[in-house]
Amino acid sequence: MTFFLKKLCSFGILLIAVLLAADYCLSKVVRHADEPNFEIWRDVMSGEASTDILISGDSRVNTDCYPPVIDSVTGLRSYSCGVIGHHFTIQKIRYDMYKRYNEKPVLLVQFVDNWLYGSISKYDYQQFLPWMWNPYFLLDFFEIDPSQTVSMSIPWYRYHGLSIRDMFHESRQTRRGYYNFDKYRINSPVSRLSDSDLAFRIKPRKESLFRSFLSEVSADGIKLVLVMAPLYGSSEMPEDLCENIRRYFRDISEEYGIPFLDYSNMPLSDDKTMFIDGFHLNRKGSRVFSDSLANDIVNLGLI
Amino acid sequence: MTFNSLIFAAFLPIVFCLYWFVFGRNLRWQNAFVVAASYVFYGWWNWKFLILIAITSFCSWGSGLLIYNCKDDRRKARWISAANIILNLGILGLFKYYDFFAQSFADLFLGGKTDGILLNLILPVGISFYTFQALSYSIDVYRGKIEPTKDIVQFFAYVSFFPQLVAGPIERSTNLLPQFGRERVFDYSQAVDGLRQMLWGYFKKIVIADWCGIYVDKVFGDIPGQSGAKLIAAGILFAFQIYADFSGYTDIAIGTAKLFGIKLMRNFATPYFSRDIAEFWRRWHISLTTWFRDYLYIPMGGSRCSKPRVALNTMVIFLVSGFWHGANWTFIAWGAFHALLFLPLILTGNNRKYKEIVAPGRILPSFKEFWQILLTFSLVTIGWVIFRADSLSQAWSFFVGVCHWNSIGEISVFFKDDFLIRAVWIAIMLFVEWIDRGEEHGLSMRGVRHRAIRYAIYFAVILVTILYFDDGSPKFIYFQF
Repeated sequence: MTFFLKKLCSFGILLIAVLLAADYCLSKVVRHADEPNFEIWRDVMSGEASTDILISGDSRVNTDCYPPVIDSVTGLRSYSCGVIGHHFTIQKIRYDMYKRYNEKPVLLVQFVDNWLYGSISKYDYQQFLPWMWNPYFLLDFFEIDPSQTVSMSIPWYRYHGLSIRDMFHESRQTRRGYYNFDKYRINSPVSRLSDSDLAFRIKPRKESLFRSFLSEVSADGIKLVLVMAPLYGSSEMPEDLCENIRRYFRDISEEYGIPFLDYSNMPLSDDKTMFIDGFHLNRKGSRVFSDSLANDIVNLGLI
Repeated sequence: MTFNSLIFAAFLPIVFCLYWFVFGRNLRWQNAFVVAASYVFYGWWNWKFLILIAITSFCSWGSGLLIYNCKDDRRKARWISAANIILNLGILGLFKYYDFFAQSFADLFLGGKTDGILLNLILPVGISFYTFQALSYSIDVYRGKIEPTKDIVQFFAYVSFFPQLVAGPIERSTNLLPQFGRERVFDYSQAVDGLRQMLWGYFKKIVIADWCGIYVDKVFGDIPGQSGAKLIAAGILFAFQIYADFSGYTDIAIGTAKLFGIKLMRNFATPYFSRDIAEFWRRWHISLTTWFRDYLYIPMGGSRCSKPRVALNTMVIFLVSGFWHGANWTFIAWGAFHALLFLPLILTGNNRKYKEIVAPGRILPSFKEFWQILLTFSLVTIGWVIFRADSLSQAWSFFVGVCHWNSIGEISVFFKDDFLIRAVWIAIMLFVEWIDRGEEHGLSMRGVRHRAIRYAIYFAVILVTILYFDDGSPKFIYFQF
């Protein structure tokens, strides 16, 4: 029995070494996947996302902000650095990694909305996997969700169930973080979401993180602007809810001396031909919005 | 708790350590611990199921003692044995078949109205397996093949032993019960072989069965919308899904038992390398087919009677075997289909032609053997389609759809990635099982002497199995029986 247990332990140690080596190799491969998430993380972690105008937020940044239009209006480089499927706590990690490996931007555009303080979910977690063993990444993640960090760090096992082959396409999917489609898939206005899905919940810990982020960006000498992007059907949303959200971010922007640009009710918000679904603009819509945003940035003297 | 769950990964080492290090010195305590651990394992689904298994165990144990005490009064012993059989089959029938018969009755005589007659009882996991296992004990005592045990703990351990509790092998009292009656000594080579067998079982379940299941479920979920080629592809994949699922479970069960010094019977002997249907049934779900042979077929006269009677006995066995799998006409039809395939062989005395493994001592089968294997597999796969279908009409739609091809180009289905990748893994499984077809399982490693090569194979299998593992993966198919 003792011999069996010794053999089992030595096999286990060898197995861990094999899993670590296999994970290392697989992570190197997966990092080069042609999936928007991976491309953006790859750019950020390798310093290739360096830009003058950094646009931060969730997936709406990636679909709504078209860098060529912003670049041509502002005369500066821009990068749509949204984190697909995740709220501010993960966006903050993205910003931390950007700061560590890329040039300091002139301007940071931060998207804000009802869901800014949402909870971390398991949605689209695979985008983090190839970088989980970066010590800074790991520590940041561990602070916000220790149990998920552990499960996403277990060598080799963390890739279980993923269709890795499907992550590789013939060409790169994003362009300076931007990716989009022509046709719309779902056409429900956001006003049809339930009250609990639309609700704006302020969580003290996350709000504190957001506030310290605003202070940090200002202290770094980076100009900052808060932006509320358009939503399809937002004019039909409950007026008191919309007013609460606007007031909240207006108050924060005044407190920190940051401009607040509210596009939630811009004319294209009622035009379904501008949207993929209730949340994301399509190619046509993104060009219109990007043009408005870039011109407003110039007019405000932010660059 | 299933074998492919993370909770089992924690459960097994704890039970293993307690079994050998804490309870290993006293046989009675060790058996009691087996019962406790097994009841925790089984009760994880639903603690209410424990009441039924306890009743079955107690009644069978008690009837064994009563039968033995009446051994001089055969009539009384027969009544006690019959009572025990009726009670246990009654419980099984109530939970598994009552609603089926009630529904059928309602369809025939009440215009399909089932108000107030259906019980909608949840089918306890593994009830078909442990009921038969308990029955085999009392019948063996009645026949004088085994002496009853006075040790109730030993008997409870025999019925509830967790590795084989929910999906077999259906053990015989003559094999398993005595193992709980004597001291178990830890055997290093047996334990290592057990781990290898478990690894092979996990590979089959996770990499083959679960992945084929995704494709199969999609196709069977929309049969009218599928091309003939896709239906054929799904049929073939289901044949491998059910084999990998069930034999994978059995390998994990047998391998786990080896860790505890218990030897369970073999349940699968590479059935898809069979040269005819009779050989297939000697290699598929061996524990069930031998159970029916010994406790139903032979008492009915077996093959030692007139040809019409042999035909009737064969038909009955296959129909009952089909019905054992579930309360649905598809299972009965499946049984009838196999009976029709089997009858010509048994009536012509050719049912015991192929007793040893195919191509012994050769690397490849002969041309004739290859075609025999292919034909047998094709016939079995046709049966699996009936087995898999939700209803006879769905099975019929499947077969009609198979004949419907829009163009020969549909054959490209077999070269698309979603089929091809699965086919590659199936080919690897078949290759391994072909090489080790004379051994107990695919990872016996008897011909691999160099440790580095053995370890490389283990690591490769582990890496692939982990990568394909899905937390939300479907349960084992045979749990529903």
